[in-house]
Amino acid sequence: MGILAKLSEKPWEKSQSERDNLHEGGTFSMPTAWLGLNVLFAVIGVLFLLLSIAYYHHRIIHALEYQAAAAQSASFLDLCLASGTAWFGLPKLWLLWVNTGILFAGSLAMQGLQTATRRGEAQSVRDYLIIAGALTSAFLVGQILVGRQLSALGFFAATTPAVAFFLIIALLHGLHVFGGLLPLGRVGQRLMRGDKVADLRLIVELCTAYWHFLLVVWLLLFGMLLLT
Amino acid sequence: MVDVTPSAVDYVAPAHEEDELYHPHSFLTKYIWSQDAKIIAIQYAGTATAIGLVALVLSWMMRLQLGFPDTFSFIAPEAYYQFITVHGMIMVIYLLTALFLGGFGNYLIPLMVGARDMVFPYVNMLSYWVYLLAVLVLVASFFVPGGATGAGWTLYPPQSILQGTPGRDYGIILMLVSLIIFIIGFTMGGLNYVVTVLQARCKGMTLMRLPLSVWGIFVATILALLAFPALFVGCVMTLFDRILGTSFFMPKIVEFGEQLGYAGGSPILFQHLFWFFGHPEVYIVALPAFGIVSDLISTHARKNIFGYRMMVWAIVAIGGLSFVVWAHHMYVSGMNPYFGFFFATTTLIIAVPTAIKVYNWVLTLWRANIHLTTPMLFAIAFILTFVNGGITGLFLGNVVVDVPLSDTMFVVAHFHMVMGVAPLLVIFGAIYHWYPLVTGRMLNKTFGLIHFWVTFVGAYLIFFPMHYLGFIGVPRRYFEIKDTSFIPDTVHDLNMFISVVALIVGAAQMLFLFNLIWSIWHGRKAERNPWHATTLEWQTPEMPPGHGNWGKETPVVYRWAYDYSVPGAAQDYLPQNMPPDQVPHAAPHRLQPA
Repeated sequence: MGILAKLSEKPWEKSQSERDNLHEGGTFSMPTAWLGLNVLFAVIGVLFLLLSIAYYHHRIIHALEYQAAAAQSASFLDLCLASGTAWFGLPKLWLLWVNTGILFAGSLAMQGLQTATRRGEAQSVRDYLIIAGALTSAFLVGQILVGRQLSALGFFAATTPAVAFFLIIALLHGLHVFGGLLPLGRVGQRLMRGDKVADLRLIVELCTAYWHFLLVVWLLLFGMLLLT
Repeated sequence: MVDVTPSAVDYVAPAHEEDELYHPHSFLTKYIWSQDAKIIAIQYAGTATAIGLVALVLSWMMRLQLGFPDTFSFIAPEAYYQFITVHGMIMVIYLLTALFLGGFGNYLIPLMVGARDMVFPYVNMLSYWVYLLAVLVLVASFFVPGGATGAGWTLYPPQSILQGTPGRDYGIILMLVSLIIFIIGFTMGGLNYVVTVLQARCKGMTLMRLPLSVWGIFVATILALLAFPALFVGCVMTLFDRILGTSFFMPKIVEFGEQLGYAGGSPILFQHLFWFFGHPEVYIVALPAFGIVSDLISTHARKNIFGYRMMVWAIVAIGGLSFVVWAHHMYVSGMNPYFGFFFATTTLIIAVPTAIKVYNWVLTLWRANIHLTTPMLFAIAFILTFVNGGITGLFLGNVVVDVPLSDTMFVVAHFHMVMGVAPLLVIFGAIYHWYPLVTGRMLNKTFGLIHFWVTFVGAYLIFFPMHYLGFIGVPRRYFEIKDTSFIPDTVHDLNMFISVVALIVGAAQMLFLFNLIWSIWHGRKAERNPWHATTLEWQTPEMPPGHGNWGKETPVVYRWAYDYSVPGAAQDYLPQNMPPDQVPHAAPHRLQPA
């Protein structure tokens, strides 16, 4: 039944009441934890969407200012560039591509972990868990190194808008990735405690979805930063 | 959305099954690190009240300065701006949002939907402790060098992070960090409220059988989950601007004759982000109040709520529309006039579902068996106050009227009436209504009546004259006006009068607090379901409800939440979990011979 039909019900009427008495209580036919994760995805999605809008807002303003300055005189343009009001794109750093590859590999490892959990292969679960954890940690270290590289190259957040946005996006994305390591660590802890692999299925599936989600978010944001 | 009747879905695991319920074993896990939503609700309410008292004292300080300028040496101009800022932030975020969603949401949702607890109790517990951390960080900002920020509750950059604004060094940093922490904590709680309403309802509890309190809190939570990220982004970016020297919101700017390193930032962007959160925030506070007041009115008028479906639709419609009106807070920011037209139109449109709700409350009262209990008095006072505050909102929602009134005391009067006094009246009414459920005792009625009349009449004595002050051009956020040519001397007299009343109304809140504490031990013992309410929270096996709420079996619901004064029934209320075959019927009415 659609939401509109549901909101059109007249619960005080006898015929409707008789139908309502059969209702089991839930709204969605999915486990509670999955619904919770989907709501979390919506919240995180809005967060990064707003950051993207802020980024494009800056990009457009800078483009307009740049055009206005260029139309006036070369000397004013030079002044503009020197003061940092013109737009510098994100520098092409090979490490960013490596990090993206690592995050992608981490997501694949999580997929492997999910498959192994569903099959009940304890040894594979352990292996994939270690690989996924290591790759994700490597991604986070790699992102920190990118920040250091940018600084070493002279691209300071204070003067380069694209770098400032990159830093804020990378920081918030990285914190979300780090947050994902906590339940993944919990999976490891439960494995070491001797819990059955079958009991880990739900949490592993949730973690896998979370990893895939953050990969997609990163690809979209990275693409946005690169293409503009 | 799926209709989970047996024919539609095989099985949806109820989240309130016994094996999923957390059982505390020690005092610490039962009352401190508690995962029971009822305890968490009380923790939220206690913390919100405590920080609310700080906000009350700050408002007293402001009124002392405005009413008696040049009298109190301890109120310096910098301190005054800090009082304004922190008072506003506490009231909107740390008191009203936390109390409605964290307090009432936690207590009422599981009980009203027939669940044993929230669906993610551990995360729910964390939510409170993160909230407490946010409050402590906020309070800490008073004690760092330079004190709390005095940037105004909107925290607009560039002003908020430039020299000359109080608390520019550390206060603003702590304020931003506190807000970020609050949002993280709220998200944890919000996930619980939404998923619990959707998935953990008991048998027979369809969405359209939910009490309007739950609808209000549910939709407000969705708004908050979608709106708080905008504040989060704004806070993080401002923090970057302040600490790292980025220029997200900072244009090229000169400070005290010195060219700063900022360039290219957009202050307007912050305003958009802030108000994309800020306007839904009004409804994050208002929607739970709408829902709760509907239940108070229906219960104490012994009549089903008028137009239940329309009330639900209005809550949903207001929630949706609240995301497309934000820039009516920015008419004087220099934005495109066509945007002003758009946002003025959406603002007028949102008045339609809001008006529907007001009409329905009034029509519920029409020819009802009104019991003028303390909760009912507060509920009626809310309707009057909300209408007053709402109508001045129509003034300010129109560009041509807003521009001259912008930044005057008229604005202060408007938002205090509509989202300060009005929701607080609902909170008071709700506390008088549900206090017996929480404690098993009744609040003292005499104290309650004194509290009501002083608060209600006092609020009008404070804020009605403020509209007048705004009309004659008295600006807001001014430390003192002194001899300004266009401001008559009567303004000073009026300011003095308002300040005296504000002190009295504040003192009445002390009486309320005394009543809250005193009645725990000395209040009259409450009978079961003292208001003869239909909703599930009053139908628990124990009162106050025990751990797990429902004993061995979760309830089964057979009717909607508003079966009051049902024709043919022997009593004037039918609890939601009363089976149809157990409804006591009234004796047949005999016609008297002429």
